[in-house]
Amino acid sequence: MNNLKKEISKIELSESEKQRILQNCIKKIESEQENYSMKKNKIINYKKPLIAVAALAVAFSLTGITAMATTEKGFFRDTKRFDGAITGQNYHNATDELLVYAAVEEDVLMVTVKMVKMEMIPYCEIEVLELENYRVLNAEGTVVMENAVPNNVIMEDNQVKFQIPAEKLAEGTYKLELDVLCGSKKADQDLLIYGGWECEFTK
Amino acid sequence: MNHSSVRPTDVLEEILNQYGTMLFRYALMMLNDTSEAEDVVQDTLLIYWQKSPVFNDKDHEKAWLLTVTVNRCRDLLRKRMRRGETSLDNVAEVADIAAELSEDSGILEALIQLPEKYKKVLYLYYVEEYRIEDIAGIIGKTASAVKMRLKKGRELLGEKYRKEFM
Repeated sequence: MNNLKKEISKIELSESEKQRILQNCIKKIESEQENYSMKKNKIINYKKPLIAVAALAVAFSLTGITAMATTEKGFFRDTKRFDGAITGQNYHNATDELLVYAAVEEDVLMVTVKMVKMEMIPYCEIEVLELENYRVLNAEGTVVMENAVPNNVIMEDNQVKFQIPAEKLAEGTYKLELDVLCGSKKADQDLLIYGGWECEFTK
Repeated sequence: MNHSSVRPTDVLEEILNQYGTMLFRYALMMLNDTSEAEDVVQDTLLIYWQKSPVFNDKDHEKAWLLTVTVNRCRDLLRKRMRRGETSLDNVAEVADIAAELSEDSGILEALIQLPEKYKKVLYLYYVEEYRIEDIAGIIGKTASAVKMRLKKGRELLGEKYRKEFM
Protein backbone atom coordinates (compact mmCIF):
# COMPACT_ATOMS: atom_id res chain seq x y z
CA MET A 1 0.00 0.00 0.00
CA ASN A 2 2.98 2.33 0.54
CA ASN A 3 3.74 1.70 -3.08
CA LEU A 4 0.27 2.95 -4.03
CA LYS A 5 0.81 6.32 -2.36
CA LYS A 6 4.26 6.59 -3.96
CA GLU A 7 2.88 5.87 -7.43
CA ILE A 8 -0.04 8.26 -7.10
CA SER A 9 2.19 11.05 -5.79
CA LYS A 10 3.90 11.04 -9.18
CA ILE A 11 0.76 12.33 -10.87
CA GLU A 12 0.95 16.11 -10.98
CA LEU A 13 -1.31 18.85 -12.24
CA SER A 14 0.97 20.76 -14.61
CA GLU A 15 1.28 24.55 -14.68
CA SER A 16 -0.50 24.74 -18.04
CA GLU A 17 -3.38 22.61 -16.71
CA LYS A 18 -3.63 24.87 -13.65
CA GLN A 19 -3.73 27.97 -15.82
CA ARG A 20 -6.41 26.43 -18.04
CA ILE A 21 -8.57 25.55 -15.03
CA LEU A 22 -8.12 29.02 -13.55
CA GLN A 23 -8.94 30.82 -16.81
CA ASN A 24 -12.08 28.70 -17.30
CA CYS A 25 -13.21 29.48 -13.75
CA ILE A 26 -12.70 33.21 -14.21
CA LYS A 27 -14.60 33.18 -17.52
CA LYS A 28 -17.47 31.31 -15.92
CA ILE A 29 -17.63 33.65 -12.91
CA GLU A 30 -17.57 36.71 -15.17
CA SER A 31 -20.33 35.38 -17.42
CA GLU A 32 -22.45 34.48 -14.37
CA GLN A 33 -21.98 37.98 -12.96
CA GLU A 34 -22.99 39.44 -16.35
CA ASN A 35 -26.10 37.22 -16.52
CA TYR A 36 -27.03 38.17 -12.99
CA SER A 37 -26.88 41.91 -13.69
CA MET A 38 -28.86 41.41 -16.94
CA LYS A 39 -31.57 39.47 -15.09
CA LYS A 40 -31.65 42.15 -12.39
CA ASN A 41 -32.18 44.85 -15.05
CA LYS A 42 -34.96 42.81 -16.66
CA ILE A 43 -36.73 42.43 -13.33
CA ILE A 44 -36.61 46.20 -12.81
CA ASN A 45 -37.93 46.87 -16.35
CA TYR A 46 -40.81 44.45 -15.94
CA LYS A 47 -41.72 45.53 -12.44
CA LYS A 48 -44.56 47.86 -13.45
CA PRO A 49 -46.30 45.51 -15.93
CA LEU A 50 -45.95 42.70 -13.39
CA ILE A 51 -47.71 44.77 -10.75
CA ALA A 52 -50.50 45.45 -13.27
CA VAL A 53 -50.85 41.74 -14.10
CA ALA A 54 -50.89 40.84 -10.39
CA ALA A 55 -53.59 43.44 -9.77
CA LEU A 56 -55.63 42.04 -12.68
CA ALA A 57 -55.31 38.50 -11.34
CA VAL A 58 -56.54 39.64 -7.94
CA ALA A 59 -59.41 41.48 -9.61
CA PHE A 60 -60.38 38.40 -11.65
CA SER A 61 -60.26 36.19 -8.58
CA LEU A 62 -62.51 38.60 -6.72
CA THR A 63 -65.04 38.67 -9.54
CA GLY A 64 -65.26 34.89 -9.66
CA ILE A 65 -63.17 34.32 -12.82
CA THR A 66 -60.73 31.95 -11.18
CA ALA A 67 -58.97 30.43 -14.19
CA MET A 68 -56.51 33.26 -14.57
CA ALA A 69 -55.94 33.73 -10.87
CA THR A 70 -55.17 30.05 -10.29
CA THR A 71 -52.83 29.42 -13.21
CA GLU A 72 -50.11 27.18 -11.78
CA LYS A 73 -46.46 27.85 -12.40
CA GLY A 74 -43.38 25.86 -11.60
CA PHE A 75 -41.40 26.71 -8.50
CA PHE A 76 -38.12 25.82 -6.84
CA ARG A 77 -38.09 24.06 -3.51
CA ASP A 78 -35.03 23.44 -1.31
CA THR A 79 -34.10 19.86 -0.50
CA LYS A 80 -33.05 19.37 3.09
CA ARG A 81 -31.04 16.77 4.92
CA PHE A 82 -32.33 15.08 8.11
CA ASP A 83 -30.64 17.80 10.20
CA GLY A 84 -32.27 20.61 8.25
CA ALA A 85 -29.20 21.62 6.23
CA ILE A 86 -30.12 22.62 2.67
CA THR A 87 -28.46 20.26 0.22
CA GLY A 88 -29.92 21.41 -3.08
CA GLN A 89 -33.02 22.40 -4.99
CA ASN A 90 -35.74 20.72 -7.01
CA TYR A 91 -38.23 22.24 -9.43
CA HIS A 92 -41.90 21.38 -8.98
CA ASN A 93 -45.16 21.84 -10.86
CA ALA A 94 -43.54 21.87 -14.31
CA THR A 95 -46.46 20.11 -16.05
CA ASP A 96 -47.57 23.15 -18.06
CA GLU A 97 -44.04 24.18 -18.95
CA LEU A 98 -43.07 21.03 -20.85
CA LEU A 99 -44.84 19.12 -23.61
CA VAL A 100 -44.20 15.41 -23.95
CA TYR A 101 -44.90 13.32 -27.06
CA ALA A 102 -44.27 9.63 -27.66
CA ALA A 103 -44.23 7.56 -30.86
CA VAL A 104 -42.75 4.27 -32.00
CA GLU A 105 -40.70 4.14 -35.17
CA GLU A 106 -39.03 0.89 -36.20
CA ASP A 107 -38.79 -0.65 -32.72
CA VAL A 108 -37.59 2.60 -31.18
CA LEU A 109 -39.74 4.56 -28.76
CA MET A 110 -39.12 8.22 -29.46
CA VAL A 111 -40.00 10.42 -26.49
CA THR A 112 -39.86 14.13 -27.27
CA VAL A 113 -39.77 16.66 -24.45
CA LYS A 114 -40.41 20.20 -25.61
CA MET A 115 -39.58 23.11 -23.33
CA VAL A 116 -42.39 25.59 -23.90
CA LYS A 117 -40.81 28.35 -21.86
CA MET A 118 -37.26 28.08 -23.07
CA GLU A 119 -36.42 31.64 -22.04
CA MET A 120 -37.36 30.91 -18.45
CA ILE A 121 -35.18 29.65 -15.59
CA PRO A 122 -34.45 26.73 -15.19
CA TYR A 123 -34.94 25.78 -18.85
CA CYS A 124 -32.61 28.43 -20.29
CA GLU A 125 -29.75 27.07 -18.14
CA ILE A 126 -30.16 23.35 -18.70
CA GLU A 127 -27.35 21.77 -20.72
CA VAL A 128 -28.34 18.12 -20.42
CA LEU A 129 -31.85 16.81 -19.88
CA GLU A 130 -32.56 13.22 -18.91
CA LEU A 131 -35.63 11.11 -18.17
CA GLU A 132 -35.40 10.36 -14.46
CA ASN A 133 -38.60 8.42 -13.79
CA TYR A 134 -41.06 7.10 -16.33
CA ARG A 135 -43.02 3.97 -17.16
CA VAL A 136 -44.90 2.51 -20.09
CA LEU A 137 -48.22 0.80 -19.43
CA ASN A 138 -50.14 -1.50 -21.77
CA ALA A 139 -53.88 -1.30 -22.46
CA GLU A 140 -54.59 -3.31 -19.27
CA GLY A 141 -52.65 -0.84 -17.17
CA THR A 142 -49.71 -3.18 -16.50
CA VAL A 143 -46.25 -1.65 -16.45
CA VAL A 144 -44.31 -3.16 -19.35
CA MET A 145 -41.27 -0.89 -19.33
CA GLU A 146 -39.76 1.30 -16.63
CA ASN A 147 -36.85 3.73 -16.72
CA ALA A 148 -35.13 1.98 -19.63
CA VAL A 149 -31.94 3.79 -20.62
CA PRO A 150 -32.20 5.60 -23.99
CA ASN A 151 -29.86 4.48 -26.75
CA ASN A 152 -29.51 7.99 -28.03
CA VAL A 153 -30.43 11.50 -26.94
CA ILE A 154 -30.78 14.34 -29.43
CA MET A 155 -30.88 17.88 -28.06
CA GLU A 156 -32.31 20.46 -30.46
CA ASP A 157 -33.18 24.15 -29.83
CA ASN A 158 -35.99 23.80 -27.33
CA GLN A 159 -36.60 20.08 -27.41
CA VAL A 160 -34.88 16.86 -26.46
CA LYS A 161 -35.56 13.55 -28.20
CA PHE A 162 -34.90 10.29 -26.35
CA GLN A 163 -34.61 7.12 -28.43
CA ILE A 164 -35.48 4.13 -26.27
CA PRO A 165 -35.21 0.55 -27.53
CA ALA A 166 -38.75 -0.86 -27.79
CA GLU A 167 -38.31 -4.16 -29.61
CA LYS A 168 -39.78 -5.99 -26.59
CA LEU A 169 -43.09 -4.16 -26.89
CA ALA A 170 -45.75 -6.18 -28.72
CA GLU A 171 -48.16 -4.48 -31.11
CA GLY A 172 -50.83 -2.52 -29.29
CA THR A 173 -51.70 0.73 -27.58
CA TYR A 174 -49.57 2.01 -24.72
CA LYS A 175 -49.45 4.90 -22.32
CA LEU A 176 -46.29 6.71 -21.28
CA GLU A 177 -46.31 8.20 -17.77
CA LEU A 178 -43.48 10.55 -16.92
CA ASP A 179 -43.06 12.09 -13.44
CA VAL A 180 -39.52 13.32 -13.13
CA LEU A 181 -36.88 14.72 -15.47
CA CYS A 182 -33.32 15.56 -14.52
CA GLY A 183 -31.67 18.70 -15.83
CA SER A 184 -28.01 19.40 -15.38
CA LYS A 185 -25.59 22.19 -15.92
CA LYS A 186 -21.84 22.09 -15.53
CA ALA A 187 -20.62 22.90 -11.99
CA ASP A 188 -24.13 22.68 -10.62
CA GLN A 189 -26.00 19.92 -8.87
CA ASP A 190 -28.56 18.01 -10.89
CA LEU A 191 -32.00 19.61 -10.85
CA LEU A 192 -34.93 17.22 -10.60
CA ILE A 193 -37.98 18.60 -12.45
CA TYR A 194 -41.28 17.25 -11.18
CA GLY A 195 -44.57 17.22 -13.04
CA GLY A 196 -47.09 14.80 -14.47
CA TRP A 197 -47.10 14.00 -18.18
CA GLU A 198 -49.04 11.26 -19.95
CA CYS A 199 -49.35 10.41 -23.60
CA GLU A 200 -50.62 7.46 -25.60
CA PHE A 201 -48.89 5.78 -28.50
CA THR A 202 -49.36 2.67 -30.61
CA LYS A 203 -46.96 0.18 -32.01
CA MET B 1 -15.23 35.62 2.53
CA ASN B 2 -16.38 38.96 1.18
CA HIS B 3 -16.49 38.68 -2.61
CA SER B 4 -16.60 42.41 -3.19
CA SER B 5 -13.16 42.93 -1.66
CA VAL B 6 -11.23 40.05 -3.27
CA ARG B 7 -10.57 39.05 -6.84
CA PRO B 8 -11.60 35.52 -7.88
CA THR B 9 -8.20 35.00 -9.55
CA ASP B 10 -6.33 35.49 -6.25
CA VAL B 11 -8.60 33.28 -4.16
CA LEU B 12 -8.90 30.48 -6.69
CA GLU B 13 -5.22 30.50 -7.59
CA GLU B 14 -4.32 30.01 -3.94
CA ILE B 15 -6.77 27.13 -3.57
CA LEU B 16 -5.63 25.59 -6.84
CA ASN B 17 -1.97 25.75 -5.78
CA GLN B 18 -2.70 24.22 -2.40
CA TYR B 19 -5.22 21.54 -3.29
CA GLY B 20 -5.43 21.34 -7.10
CA THR B 21 -3.10 18.37 -7.51
CA MET B 22 -4.75 16.43 -4.67
CA LEU B 23 -8.24 16.97 -6.13
CA PHE B 24 -7.02 16.16 -9.65
CA ARG B 25 -5.42 12.87 -8.52
CA TYR B 26 -8.61 11.78 -6.80
CA ALA B 27 -10.81 12.71 -9.78
CA LEU B 28 -8.42 11.01 -12.20
CA MET B 29 -8.44 7.80 -10.17
CA MET B 30 -12.23 7.79 -10.04
CA LEU B 31 -13.01 8.87 -13.61
CA ASN B 32 -10.01 7.52 -15.55
CA ASP B 33 -10.20 10.55 -17.81
CA THR B 34 -7.81 13.51 -17.59
CA SER B 35 -10.09 16.12 -19.17
CA GLU B 36 -13.05 15.11 -17.00
CA ALA B 37 -10.77 15.19 -13.94
CA GLU B 38 -9.72 18.74 -14.89
CA ASP B 39 -13.41 19.67 -15.24
CA VAL B 40 -14.12 18.30 -11.78
CA VAL B 41 -11.33 20.42 -10.26
CA GLN B 42 -12.75 23.43 -12.10
CA ASP B 43 -16.29 22.70 -10.86
CA THR B 44 -15.01 22.31 -7.29
CA LEU B 45 -13.31 25.70 -7.46
CA LEU B 46 -16.46 27.31 -8.84
CA ILE B 47 -18.58 25.85 -6.06
CA TYR B 48 -15.98 27.08 -3.56
CA TRP B 49 -16.26 30.58 -5.01
CA GLN B 50 -20.06 30.55 -5.17
CA LYS B 51 -20.61 29.21 -1.66
CA SER B 52 -17.63 30.95 -0.02
CA PRO B 53 -17.77 28.63 3.00
CA VAL B 54 -16.18 29.48 6.34
CA PHE B 55 -13.73 26.92 7.74
CA ASN B 56 -12.42 26.19 11.22
CA ASP B 57 -8.96 25.28 9.97
CA LYS B 58 -7.01 23.97 6.97
CA ASP B 59 -8.07 20.35 7.58
CA HIS B 60 -11.70 21.41 7.47
CA GLU B 61 -11.10 23.26 4.22
CA LYS B 62 -9.33 20.26 2.66
CA ALA B 63 -12.10 17.87 3.73
CA TRP B 64 -14.76 20.22 2.33
CA LEU B 65 -13.02 20.44 -1.05
CA LEU B 66 -12.56 16.67 -1.15
CA THR B 67 -16.23 16.13 -0.32
CA VAL B 68 -17.30 18.35 -3.22
CA THR B 69 -14.91 16.49 -5.54
CA VAL B 70 -16.14 13.09 -4.30
CA ASN B 71 -19.77 14.12 -4.95
CA ARG B 72 -19.00 15.60 -8.36
CA CYS B 73 -17.16 12.41 -9.44
CA ARG B 74 -20.07 10.30 -8.17
CA ASP B 75 -22.54 12.41 -10.19
CA LEU B 76 -20.44 12.01 -13.35
CA LEU B 77 -20.11 8.25 -12.83
CA ARG B 78 -23.89 7.96 -12.35
CA LYS B 79 -24.44 9.94 -15.52
CA ARG B 80 -22.08 7.61 -17.38
CA MET B 81 -24.00 4.62 -16.07
CA ARG B 82 -27.30 6.11 -17.22
CA ARG B 83 -25.82 6.53 -20.68
CA GLY B 84 -24.61 2.96 -20.67
CA GLU B 85 -20.89 3.81 -20.57
CA THR B 86 -18.63 1.87 -18.21
CA SER B 87 -16.16 3.54 -15.89
CA LEU B 88 -13.45 1.36 -17.37
CA ASP B 89 -13.75 2.76 -20.88
CA ASN B 90 -10.70 4.95 -20.28
CA VAL B 91 -8.56 2.67 -18.15
CA ALA B 92 -5.88 2.80 -20.81
CA GLU B 93 -5.55 6.57 -20.36
CA VAL B 94 -4.59 6.46 -16.68
CA ALA B 95 -2.57 3.31 -17.22
CA ASP B 96 -0.53 5.20 -19.84
CA ILE B 97 0.08 8.09 -17.46
CA ALA B 98 1.06 5.67 -14.71
CA ALA B 99 3.36 3.72 -17.00
CA GLU B 100 5.11 6.92 -18.07
CA LEU B 101 5.78 7.83 -14.48
CA SER B 102 6.69 4.50 -13.07
CA GLU B 103 8.22 1.16 -13.88
CA ASP B 104 5.65 -0.61 -11.73
CA SER B 105 2.27 0.90 -12.56
CA GLY B 106 0.41 -2.35 -11.80
CA ILE B 107 -0.89 -1.25 -8.42
CA LEU B 108 -2.42 1.89 -9.97
CA GLU B 109 -3.98 -0.06 -12.81
CA ALA B 110 -5.38 -2.56 -10.34
CA LEU B 111 -6.82 0.25 -8.22
CA ILE B 112 -8.54 2.07 -11.08
CA GLN B 113 -10.21 -1.14 -12.18
CA LEU B 114 -11.97 -1.56 -8.83
CA PRO B 115 -15.62 -0.52 -8.41
CA GLU B 116 -15.97 3.11 -7.33
CA LYS B 117 -17.18 2.39 -3.79
CA TYR B 118 -14.03 0.43 -2.89
CA LYS B 119 -11.63 2.58 -4.85
CA LYS B 120 -12.90 5.69 -3.05
CA VAL B 121 -12.29 4.43 0.49
CA LEU B 122 -8.95 2.81 -0.37
CA TYR B 123 -7.80 6.06 -1.90
CA LEU B 124 -8.88 8.24 1.03
CA TYR B 125 -7.40 5.81 3.56
CA TYR B 126 -4.08 4.93 1.98
CA VAL B 127 -3.29 7.97 -0.13
CA GLU B 128 -4.86 10.84 1.80
CA GLU B 129 -4.36 8.98 5.11
CA TYR B 130 -7.74 9.90 6.54
CA ARG B 131 -9.11 8.09 9.57
CA ILE B 132 -12.12 5.82 9.06
CA GLU B 133 -14.43 8.29 10.89
CA ASP B 134 -13.26 11.15 8.64
CA ILE B 135 -13.82 9.07 5.49
CA ALA B 136 -17.32 8.27 6.74
CA GLY B 137 -17.99 12.02 6.98
CA ILE B 138 -16.57 12.75 3.52
CA ILE B 139 -18.46 10.05 1.66
CA GLY B 140 -21.62 10.23 3.78
CA LYS B 141 -21.56 6.63 5.09
CA THR B 142 -21.20 5.08 8.53
CA ALA B 143 -17.80 4.15 9.96
CA SER B 144 -18.72 0.46 9.92
CA ALA B 145 -19.67 0.67 6.23
CA VAL B 146 -16.30 2.28 5.52
CA LYS B 147 -14.52 -0.51 7.44
CA MET B 148 -16.37 -3.16 5.42
CA ARG B 149 -15.51 -1.45 2.15
CA LEU B 150 -11.87 -1.13 3.15
CA LYS B 151 -11.68 -4.82 3.97
CA LYS B 152 -13.42 -5.91 0.75
CA GLY B 153 -11.49 -3.34 -1.29
CA ARG B 154 -8.13 -4.60 0.01
CA GLU B 155 -9.10 -8.17 -0.88
CA LEU B 156 -10.22 -7.19 -4.38
CA LEU B 157 -7.13 -5.06 -4.99
CA GLY B 158 -4.79 -7.83 -3.85
CA GLU B 159 -6.62 -10.38 -5.97
CA LYS B 160 -6.54 -8.20 -9.07
CA TYR B 161 -2.89 -7.26 -8.62
CA ARG B 162 -1.76 -10.85 -8.12
CA LYS B 163 -3.84 -12.10 -11.03
CA GLU B 164 -2.95 -9.47 -13.64
CA PHE B 165 0.33 -7.88 -12.66
CA MET B 166 2.50 -10.46 -10.90
